[in-house]
Amino acid sequence: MLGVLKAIGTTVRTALRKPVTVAYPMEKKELPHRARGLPVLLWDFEKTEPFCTGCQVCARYCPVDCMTVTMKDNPNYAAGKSKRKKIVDKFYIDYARCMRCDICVEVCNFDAIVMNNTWKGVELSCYDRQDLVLDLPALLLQSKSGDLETPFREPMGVAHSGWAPKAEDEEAAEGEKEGGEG
Amino acid sequence: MATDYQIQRETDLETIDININVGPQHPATHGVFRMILTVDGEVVRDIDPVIGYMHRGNEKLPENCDYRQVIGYHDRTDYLAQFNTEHCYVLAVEKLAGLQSTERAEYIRVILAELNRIASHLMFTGAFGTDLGLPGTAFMYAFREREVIQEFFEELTGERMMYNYFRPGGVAWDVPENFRARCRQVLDSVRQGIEDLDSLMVDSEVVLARCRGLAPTATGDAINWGLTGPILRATGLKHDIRRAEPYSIYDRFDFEIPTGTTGDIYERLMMRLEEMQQSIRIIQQALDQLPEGPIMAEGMKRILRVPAGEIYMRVESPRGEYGVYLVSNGSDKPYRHKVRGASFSNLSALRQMAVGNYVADVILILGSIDIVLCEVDR
Amino acid sequence: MIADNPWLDAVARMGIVAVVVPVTVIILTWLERKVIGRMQMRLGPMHVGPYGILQGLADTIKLLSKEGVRPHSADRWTFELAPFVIVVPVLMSLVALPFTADIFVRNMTMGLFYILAVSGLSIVGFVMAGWGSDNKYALIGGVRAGAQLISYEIPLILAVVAVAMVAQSLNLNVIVALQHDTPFIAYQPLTFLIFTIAGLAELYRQPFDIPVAESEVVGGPFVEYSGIRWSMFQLGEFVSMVLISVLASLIFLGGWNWPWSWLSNGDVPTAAQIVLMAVKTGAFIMFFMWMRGSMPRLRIDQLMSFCWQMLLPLALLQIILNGLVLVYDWPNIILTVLSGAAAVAAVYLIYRLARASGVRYQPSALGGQRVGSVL
Repeated sequence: MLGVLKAIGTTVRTALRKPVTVAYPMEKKELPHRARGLPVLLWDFEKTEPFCTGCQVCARYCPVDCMTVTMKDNPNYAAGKSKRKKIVDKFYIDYARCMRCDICVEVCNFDAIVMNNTWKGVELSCYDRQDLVLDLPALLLQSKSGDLETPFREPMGVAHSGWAPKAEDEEAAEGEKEGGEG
Repeated sequence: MATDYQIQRETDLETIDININVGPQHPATHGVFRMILTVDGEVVRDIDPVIGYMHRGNEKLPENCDYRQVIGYHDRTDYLAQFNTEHCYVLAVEKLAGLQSTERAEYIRVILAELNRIASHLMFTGAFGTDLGLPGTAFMYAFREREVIQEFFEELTGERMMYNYFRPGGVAWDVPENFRARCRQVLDSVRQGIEDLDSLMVDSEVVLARCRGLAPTATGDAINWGLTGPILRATGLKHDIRRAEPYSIYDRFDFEIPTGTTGDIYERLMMRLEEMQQSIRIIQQALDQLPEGPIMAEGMKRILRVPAGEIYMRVESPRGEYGVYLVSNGSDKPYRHKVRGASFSNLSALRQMAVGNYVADVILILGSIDIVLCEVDR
Repeated sequence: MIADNPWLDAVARMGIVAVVVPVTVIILTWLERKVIGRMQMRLGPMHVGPYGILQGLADTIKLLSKEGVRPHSADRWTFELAPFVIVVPVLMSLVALPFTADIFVRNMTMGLFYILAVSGLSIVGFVMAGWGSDNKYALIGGVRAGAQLISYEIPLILAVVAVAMVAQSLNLNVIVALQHDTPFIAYQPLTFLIFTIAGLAELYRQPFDIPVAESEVVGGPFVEYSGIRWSMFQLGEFVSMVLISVLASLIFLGGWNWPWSWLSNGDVPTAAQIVLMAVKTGAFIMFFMWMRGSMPRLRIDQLMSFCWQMLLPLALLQIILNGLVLVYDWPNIILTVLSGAAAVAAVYLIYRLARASGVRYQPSALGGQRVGSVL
């Protein structure tokens, strides 16, 4: 009977421990910095336009083809306010297809897309599947509203070549170094 | 007179064997797996397994994906041992392409793969306890520790389950600064959890009465049936791919390979519990030896084109031998990508192992093989 | 006495029992989920009401409002009457069960006999449920359930007979009154063990719940039931649990008398009686829930061989011991000693039998850290 006594003794001991339940949704645990929610686009507050130029690299590398991207000529460039010649025109991500593999973030040349590491990036239930296809304003919402304070942007992978618009030389040089060691 | 009385014998009474369908939707079959049992009273006379409910084209779809996109498929093939499967695939690509990943990346890969092995064996123990009849107690203990491990992985990669972290040539990005301390914290918590599971299941007379002597397997039979992994080691053969054909840096670590004697399901449970201890050992050695340095090989191009050739790479996943057979024709997409799932081969021996036992025992035997349907069906 | 007219009095008392016991059952469902949750390091129900207290009520409302599905090819009356055949005898046996010295429906001279006889009728209900569902799982589960119940009735009844021998009466009030100095558990530990184990099996709780967890969790004879009928099965199970717990506290732990009457040598006030009974019954219920959380289940043939080859001879042994002590008029302490020795021998036998089924795993020599007690 000793084994049985040991087993029931274990249950008593664990019954006296503090329960490990987190009473979601009243309490939510702290998401780590690198938490991978669904992808969102970043807003460049200085130039008041998205970082994204619509180059479609992310859409090409996406394993499940969940993105549709088009680009247009940047009116801010013509007005001399920004260095980006092209800017994104339409950007659709189908969150129902996205498998959060992070490849789009890895290959983006402009650091324009990040995984949403807040709770809003994972709490996405809706009543209609069509609501899961997000367009450009919805994708920019997180960043614009300031919720996305510290996205995870560590230099990643080999495809991150640091290929950024040559705004400052330092940035370009740092990008080269990151791309080589990445 | 009494002797004139003829006793009428019932000649048209017969007992038939009934067919029970342990169907695809069943709490005990660890996935969408169907068994048609032919049962004579309590004893199972025949088993007809039906698979294919989970087939998703895991081998065909990568033919349209470049080598980095395929890593996600391996995550989803064996969703309990993702780092092991990713490890197998990236090693296959590296060998075929002639790449050599960096030291730091190798150590990180080994640490993560062994942690994932612990998590997978924890899941097995929890599910096995539920099969035995514990109403979720072993399951909850196991998942408590799995949660700790998964949170640790979330801090590292961002995902709790489908990591997509290994890359041909290294790993995707570097580990956070508190990696070592955090990992040691995780190991402490896991030790406590393994101790709980131990005292709940190992010595309990009920577990012994249910599991001892059930489905003993001889080594010769096991080899003939193609079993690998803890099942093979439970029969007595000391075969572990990490020792037999060392891949990555496993030859630098000092660990034991537990073996059993009879191969019954109690020993399979003990194998996995022991392997968890050995994995903890490996992780501690790797943490001590973890070097600084780059995490991605030098000179990697943006688009990886692998020279033509073929390779079969195998690793020791928690379920057995997981293999990737990769044929390349020089482009940036694999030409043929075949996955050898350990569960598929182990499951095909179910009939030999389980016929002649009681119905409840067949469920236990199925649980002890530790299948993951995505590996069986790919 | 609630009313002078005996019929009215009986109806009033039965009404009270019929209301209080299901309410207790509803609370017990919540308690079980909480206790098992705590044993699994989690919280259990928390949302419905403070600390989830109203969870039992919510479950009841949900079950009562569900559609009662009946398979088309099910044997109609067998299927529909099975829940009643299970629940009604259990509720009927509550008639002879005294909860305290004054709170009972009827004080029967053969109370024990009545309780056991009537509650044994539930067996038919399980087999009816299994057969009437027209489902192979249900059939196997129902047949196993019937086999298990029939087998474990015998040690249960023999254990009760042993107690009745010592008490020389089947009247539960008399049995409790006789325990004002020492509870019967001190005289017959082996009987207590047998009663507890047989009670676990009667209730289909771990480790003896294979009929209702047929093929692991599919539900056995209850697999085709939903809604009100399902809730009746659960009600029957929990009322049986209360019944067995109260019975065990009455005949083994001294009921409402001990230890108050031992310490104060007089009559026990009603409030104290209620508290004592609640504590003892609660201890048993906690024990049942504790067993549920920590033990896997035995296979049906192991269960049956345990009953017929282990419990039955031990129960008979206990009866023989009781008979010897009563006939030769030995002092009660002899009974304690003999029964205690037999209990220890029984436990040891079970331990040896379970271990004898194979060599324990010997790990290969391991260096480094060894943690836990993996052998």
